[in-house]
Amino acid sequence: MDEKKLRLIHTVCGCVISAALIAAAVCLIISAYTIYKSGDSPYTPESIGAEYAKIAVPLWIAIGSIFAGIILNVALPLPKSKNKALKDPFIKLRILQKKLPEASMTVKIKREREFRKLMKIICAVLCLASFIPAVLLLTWFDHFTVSNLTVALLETVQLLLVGVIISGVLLFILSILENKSAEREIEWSKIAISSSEKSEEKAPENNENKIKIARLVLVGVACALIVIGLTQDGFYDVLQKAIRICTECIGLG
Amino acid sequence: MKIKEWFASHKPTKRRLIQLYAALLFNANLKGFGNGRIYQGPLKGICAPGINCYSCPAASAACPLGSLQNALTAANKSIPYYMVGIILLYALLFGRWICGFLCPFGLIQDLLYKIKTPKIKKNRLTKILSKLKYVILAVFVFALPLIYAFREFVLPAFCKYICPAGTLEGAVGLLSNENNENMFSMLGPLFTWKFFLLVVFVTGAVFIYRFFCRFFCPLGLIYGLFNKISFVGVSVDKAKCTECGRCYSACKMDISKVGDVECIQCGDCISECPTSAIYRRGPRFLIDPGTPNGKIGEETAKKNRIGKRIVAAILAVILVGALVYYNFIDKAPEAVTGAEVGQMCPSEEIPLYNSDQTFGFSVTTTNSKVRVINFWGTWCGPCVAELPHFDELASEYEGEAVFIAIHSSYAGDTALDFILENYPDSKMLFGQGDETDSYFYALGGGDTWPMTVVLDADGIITARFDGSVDYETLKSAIEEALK
Repeated sequence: MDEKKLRLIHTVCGCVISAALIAAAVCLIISAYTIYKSGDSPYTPESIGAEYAKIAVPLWIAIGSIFAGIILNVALPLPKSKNKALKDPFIKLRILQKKLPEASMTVKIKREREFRKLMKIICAVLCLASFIPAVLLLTWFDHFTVSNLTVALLETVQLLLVGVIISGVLLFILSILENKSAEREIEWSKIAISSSEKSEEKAPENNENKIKIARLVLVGVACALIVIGLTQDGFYDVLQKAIRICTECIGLG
Repeated sequence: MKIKEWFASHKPTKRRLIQLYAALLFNANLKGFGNGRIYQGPLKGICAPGINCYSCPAASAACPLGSLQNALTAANKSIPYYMVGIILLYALLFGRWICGFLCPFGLIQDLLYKIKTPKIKKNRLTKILSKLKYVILAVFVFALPLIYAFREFVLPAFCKYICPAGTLEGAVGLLSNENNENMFSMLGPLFTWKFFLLVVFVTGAVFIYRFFCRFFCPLGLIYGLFNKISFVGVSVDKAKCTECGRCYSACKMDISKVGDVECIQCGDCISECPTSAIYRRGPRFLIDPGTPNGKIGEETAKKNRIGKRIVAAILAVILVGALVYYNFIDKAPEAVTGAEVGQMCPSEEIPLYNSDQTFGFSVTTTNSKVRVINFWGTWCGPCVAELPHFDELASEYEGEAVFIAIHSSYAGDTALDFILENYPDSKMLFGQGDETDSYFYALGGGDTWPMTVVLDADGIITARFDGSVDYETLKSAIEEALK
């Protein structure tokens, strides 16, 4: 079978597995939410098992599709891709920047950099602003009474999620704009490099000795901390927590 | 023939073997899966380097991140020297090599990524998202536990609200055993949230390489900050480097350059480097054969091979020893063997705080009334969270029922201050003594804190709640005992 057809088969199979996995994940989440909303507390293995039995088909399809993918991969393996082309414009840019002397930088290059810096600042401000409601709630101590803590923190998490979604969209837009800007700068840099002489590279500083000293000093500090901790029953404290199950800490409730 | 070829091209790499070895070593208590109990021996005080929930029935060591948070929740009483020292030492010795080679949750994600689906490769967005770890580290690992520590409340926020390893290895691991059926009664909004996150992280790991490690793992971030100075690591010989960028292309993490904070030191870039500028630093037995730092002679190579074999043999002996110790030598209780519902409650003398600590508590002391015995600890968040319900019910049922909250033997010295500050006029009786833990087990306590036992007027156990109990459930249990 020619490679093109083989790749097509693998792509289709991959898409089917993806769809099956996402469907199974969605079913799992919906079932968990349904069980929670049903309010049948205290739950039993039987009541939860009955709810999950309803989604057995999509779960088995997902598992089956994974195995089908493995079998396909064994029977019709895909040749290893040799395409290692550098796709990220920022890495290309970093390489070009090293070759481009400071003096040869054109106004267009500087403008692109300033544009990206400005976009980053605007995006950072907006992202931080989207988290303000959650942070305000978090610092409102009276809301977090000990008996109400889980509910209050889950409210905070909901607000945090809003911030995460807004930030995600903003960052996505930023990444597109930054990529476009970087691609433009690559073009300007190539022109600038071709019209200027290559600058001599500076020999890298040898910091190895400094690193070795810092490493040894820090290891000494770490060992000292451990010894101090041991004398203050640190090991015993870890042990006592580790041998008891704090059900809330593992998310049981 | 094709299957043979496939196996030849898919045989486990040295890295995968180390990952499997570490996962088995840190989860050597395999008998835990059978009896649904966690390992409770002295070796649990040692921290594993990677994220590995210590409430997993198989866990043989403690989780460093969980232990760090728990140590921070007691920061108002003592500085967590031990945990800071342990994490600092791991970070200096291995850096994020731990993420690439030793973390069991990293292995799970690596295997999930093997599922053949279209993948979302790294891009600018993933690079920006990788900074989310800093927020999680600052807020959930340090700020929240510390803030609440000074409010006398235990909140290991990352474990409780985010950690998927805790849900998968701890919660799901325990729930899947029939001996822990009673744990199903605890499930509620928190578990629904954690389960949702677990599904997201597991599904995400199929499509995005190391989804959790890259964007959410605070432990990886701590280790990553020491990547450049750790003993074991990946370095670049700048004299040989041509800045071709192939290392970056080969890497699936969000690195800016080899060996930075994001680098998990998997070594995928080493074979891609056309000038052999990338090399591993560290002890020879950890360095892949054929990729040494610079040229070595035949004699040295031979010595290295022998050294590696010796180390492999020692490691194999350690693993076999651990498996034998945890599963056959360790005498941890096989199953809960205390008094059960319907049986007479055993008696015990426990000093009570609000009676000048002059007399002991026993079932006969408060006989002829319904009794609610709660086992709690200041170190346990859910225990502290449910105390207000007990306090309220103690006032409501004054004269009909006696509420006795017995603090654990562990951290007993912290209990009195807590009670005086928070429940100075409570109708509850508070007790604590060296016998608490043995009494906890005598009443059928397993590994789970808190625990509440309700006795009727004859001293017969009418209900037992492992874990937290809410106001309504407890009230109906008391009403039942009063009948």
